[in-house]
Amino acid sequence: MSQPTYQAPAFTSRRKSYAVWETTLKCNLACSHCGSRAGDARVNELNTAEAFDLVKQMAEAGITEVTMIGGEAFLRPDWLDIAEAITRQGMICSMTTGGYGINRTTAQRMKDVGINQISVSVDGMQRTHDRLRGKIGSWRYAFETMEHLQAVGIYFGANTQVNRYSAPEFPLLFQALIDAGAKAWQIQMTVPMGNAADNSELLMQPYELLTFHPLLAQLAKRGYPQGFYVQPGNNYGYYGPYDRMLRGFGRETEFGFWRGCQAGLSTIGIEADGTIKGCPSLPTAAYSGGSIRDASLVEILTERDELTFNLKAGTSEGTDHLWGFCKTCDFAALCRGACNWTAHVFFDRRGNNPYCHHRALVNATQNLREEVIIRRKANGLPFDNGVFDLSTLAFDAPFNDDPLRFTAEKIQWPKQWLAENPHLSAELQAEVERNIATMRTAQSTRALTPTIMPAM
Amino acid sequence: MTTVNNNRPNAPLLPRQAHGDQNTNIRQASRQLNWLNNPFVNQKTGYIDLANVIRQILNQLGVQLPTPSPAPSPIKPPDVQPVYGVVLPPDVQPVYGVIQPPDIQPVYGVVLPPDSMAQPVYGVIQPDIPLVSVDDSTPIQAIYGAIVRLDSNDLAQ
Repeated sequence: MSQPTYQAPAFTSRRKSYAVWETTLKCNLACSHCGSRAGDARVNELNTAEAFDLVKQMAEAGITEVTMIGGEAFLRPDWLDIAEAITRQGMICSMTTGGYGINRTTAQRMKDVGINQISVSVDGMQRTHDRLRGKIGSWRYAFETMEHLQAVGIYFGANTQVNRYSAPEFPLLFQALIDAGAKAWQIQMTVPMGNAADNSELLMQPYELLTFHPLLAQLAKRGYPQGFYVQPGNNYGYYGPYDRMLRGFGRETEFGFWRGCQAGLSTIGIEADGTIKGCPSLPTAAYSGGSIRDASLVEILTERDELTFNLKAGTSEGTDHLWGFCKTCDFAALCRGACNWTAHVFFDRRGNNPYCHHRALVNATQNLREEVIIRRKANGLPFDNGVFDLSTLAFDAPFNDDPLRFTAEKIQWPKQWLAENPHLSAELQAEVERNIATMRTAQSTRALTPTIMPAM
Repeated sequence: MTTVNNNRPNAPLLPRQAHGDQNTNIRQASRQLNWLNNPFVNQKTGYIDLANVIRQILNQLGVQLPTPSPAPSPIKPPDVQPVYGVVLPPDVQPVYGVIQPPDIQPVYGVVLPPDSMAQPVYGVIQPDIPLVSVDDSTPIQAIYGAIVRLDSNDLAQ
C-alpha cells in the first residue's frame, strides 16, 4: 500500500463536514449500552466496490473527514483498503475502536494507509469497563492498543460514555488515559438506545448532571494545560456555566457554545448496509433518508426530509418540534432541543431533551428535580428505542433506595490528588450549590428587572 | 422535497448553512449565557461578584500553594527581676589554661535603695501661721460662701 501524502491536523482542529461510517455491525465485544446492538454483521452490508463508490461520493459532497466505526471496523476484511481510499480522496480518515485485538503490526498498517486519529472506547476502570463491555480482559487490551498506537506514532484518544457505573471513576480514568499517552477524551452520555434501553438502570438521572458537569469541567481544566483535551460529544451540555470552556476542550477563554444539532448540516451517518442518516446515532426507523443503493448521496442529502430537517434552523419552523421544557427555554431558538437523538430515544419523538445542565439548574432553582422511568421497552433491533416517562419531584424529595445514585461522595479520586487536597468531593459539592445559587440570583434578578435580558 | 441552504454558489454541498438567519439567535444566546453565569454583570453590584471571584482564586491558591511550617513558639523569658545597685565587674585576668568562673554570682530579687535617698512623704503639711478667723482645729476644710470684708469697728469688738 502506498504512503498517503495528506497530512491531517491534530485533535484540536475543528471538523468542517464529517461522516461517521459503520463499516460493519460485526463486533467482538458485547456492550450492555451498545445502541446498535452490534455483534453479527448485517446480512446486506456494502461490498468493497460499493464502499469505494461511496467514498468517492462523500468527497464530492464536501465531506472532509470520515470516521470508521462498527461494530468493530477492523473485523471487516477490506477495512484498510477502504481507509486508504478515503485518504486518497483527500479526506481525513479516523477510527473508533474497542481496541480488542489490535497489535503492533496492525497499528503500523493503520498508520501506513493514513489512518491518523484513533479513538479507543474505554468505559471506566478495569472492572467497570469489562463488565459494561461484556468481556473480561477488554480493558487491558484497550490500553495495550494505546501502547501500540503510541509506538507507531498515531494520534490517539479515548471515548467514554457517562453512566452510573462509569461516572464515579472519571477522575481515575482521566489520569489513566493521560498516563497511557492519550491526547483527547470524548465524552458522551449513555442514552437508552439498543442494549442501553434494556439496561436502563445504568442511565444517569437528569438531576445527577448537577454534580457530573462540575466534575467534568474540573477535569477539562486540569487536562488542557497538559495537552489532554476533554471534548464533550454532541449529546453533552448545554449552556450551563461550563459550556464555553468545554466547547474549547478545556480552554477557559473559549467563546463558542452549543449552536444546535448539526445532523445533515455538517454531519452524516452511514450504516453498514448503505443507509444514510443525518447523524450516526439517530434511530434508523425515524431518521433514515434511504440507502445509497437506491439514490446518490447528493440526492439523499438534498431531497429527503430526514436529512434536511435542520435546514429550517433560524426560521419560525425551526422550533415547531419543541415541547416540554425545551419549548419554554431561553435558548430554544438556537438550541432547538439540543441532541435530537437523545430526546428521541427517551420519548420516541424529538424536541424535549432531559439531559441538559441548564435545564437541571433552572429546575433546581424552582425546587424541582426530574427523573426518567422506563414505560415501554425497545423491541430488540439495532438503533431502536423504548419510551420513558419524565417524573418531576420536589428537589429535596427523599430518594428511593438506589445504590447506583451518583453523588459527589462516590467519586473516586487519584491518590496523588487527594494527597494534595483531601477535600475534593466536598469542594465539588460546594460548587454544585454555588451553581444553583448563581442561577437563582439570575432568575430572581430577571423577575425584578425583566428588561435586563429580554426573552429570546 | 428540496430544501435550500445558505451556502455560496458553487460551494460544496457540505457543510451547509441552515436556511434561516442564526446570527441573531447566536448573539442573543451569547448575551443570555453571559448573564446567567454572571447575573451581577448588569448591576451596580457587579463588584460583589468580582469579590467572589477573587475570594475563590485566593482560596484556590491557598489549596494549591504549599503550607508554610508553623512559626516557632516564642522563647519564654527568664524569671528574673530588675536589679538596682552596682554590679561589680569580675576581676578578670588573662587566663592560660582553665578559666575559673568569677566569684560574683548573679543577683535575684529586689535591691533596696541606699538610706540617703529621699523617702516619699504622705500626710498633711500643717501651715505655720494660722489664718485669722479660720478655725484651724481641724485639717483644711472646704469653704463655701462669700468672704466678707470686716470693718475696723467689727475688729475692735
